[in-house]
Amino acid sequence: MQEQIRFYVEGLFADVPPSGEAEALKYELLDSLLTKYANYIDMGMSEQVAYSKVVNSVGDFEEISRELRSVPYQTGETDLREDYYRRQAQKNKRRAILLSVGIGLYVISVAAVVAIPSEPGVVMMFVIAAIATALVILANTLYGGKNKEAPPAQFVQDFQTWRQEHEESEKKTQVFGGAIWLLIVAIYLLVSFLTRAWHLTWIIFLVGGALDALVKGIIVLVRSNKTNERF
Amino acid sequence: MSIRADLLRGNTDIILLARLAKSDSYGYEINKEILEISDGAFEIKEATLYTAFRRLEKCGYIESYWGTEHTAARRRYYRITPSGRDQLEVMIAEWEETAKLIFRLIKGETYHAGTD
Repeated sequence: MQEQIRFYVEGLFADVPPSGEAEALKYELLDSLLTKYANYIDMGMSEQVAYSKVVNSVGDFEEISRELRSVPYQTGETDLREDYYRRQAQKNKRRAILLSVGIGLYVISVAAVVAIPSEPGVVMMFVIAAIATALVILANTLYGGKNKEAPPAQFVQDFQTWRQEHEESEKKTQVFGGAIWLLIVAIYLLVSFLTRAWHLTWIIFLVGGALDALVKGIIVLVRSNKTNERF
Repeated sequence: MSIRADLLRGNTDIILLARLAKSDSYGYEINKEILEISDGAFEIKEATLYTAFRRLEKCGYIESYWGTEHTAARRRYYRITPSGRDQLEVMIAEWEETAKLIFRLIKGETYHAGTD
C-alpha cells in the first residue's frame, strides 16, 4: 500500500516541471501521507480503509500544482535547469551507445572462437574482448554515474545532503561488486590452470556475470523492503 | 454539534501562525494536533495545508528548514518569523472584532473574547 501512496503522489506531480521546490514539496507530502497511513494502520484500520482515508485527506491539489507550473523558478534559473537536463540526457544516450557496442563485441568475440578454430581464434577473441572492455570502461568513466554533473545550485540544498546520505549505501554495493569480479577472475585462472580446459573455462565469466547481476538484484530488493518498513 | 469546515478553512493562516507561535512544527504534527483538539471533527486537507505554508512563507511570516534528526524520513519544519508574530496579533484582533460583530448580529448579545 505504501507503494500505492507513492504512486498516487507521483501522479499528483506528473505535470509539474522538475524544480527543487516541487521536489521538496513532493517529499514533504509523501512523508506526511506515509506517516498518516502508518498511524491509521496502528489504530487497527484495514489497509484499504487507511489508504482511501489518506488519499481523501489530500484534498484539492490543483491550486498548488498550478502554482508550481506557472512560477516554478526565479529569474534566469529556467535556462540553467533545462540545460542541465538536456546535457544529462545526452550523456545517458552516449553511455548507452558505448555500452551496447561493447557488449555486442563481447558476443562477437565468442563467435570468433567458434568460427576460427585453434589459437588464432582464441587470440581474436581476446583482442575483441579487450576492445569491448575498453568501451565499457570508457562508457562508465566518461558518462557513468560517478561522473554525474552536480545539479544546479537552486536544488534545495539540505534535501540534497539527505540524498547523499542515502547514496552512501549504494557505494557499499559497488565495493562489493568489485570484489565479486576479482573473485571470478581468480576462480577462472585457478580452474583453467588445473583443468587446462581453456577452451571451456571462459564460461565461468558468463556464469559470474549472471551471479553478479543476481546478487545486485537481491540487494536492491532487500533494501527497498527495508525502507518501506521504516515508514 | 457539527463543524462547518468551510468556515474554518478560511482561517487556516491564523490557525497555523498561532500554532507556530508556540513552537516550530511540521505539517503532519500540526494536523494531528488540530484533529485531537477538535475531537476528530476537523482536519486540514494536505493541499490546503501546504498551500497555506507556501503562501505564509512567501509573505515572510514563516520560514522552513529541514530537520536534522537521522530518521528514515527527514522533515521540513516551519518556524514563525517576527513579522509573522506581528501579523498574528493583527489577525487575532481582527478575528475578535469580527466575532463580536457576528454575535451581535445573530444573537443580539455582546460577545466577550476569552470569557466563556
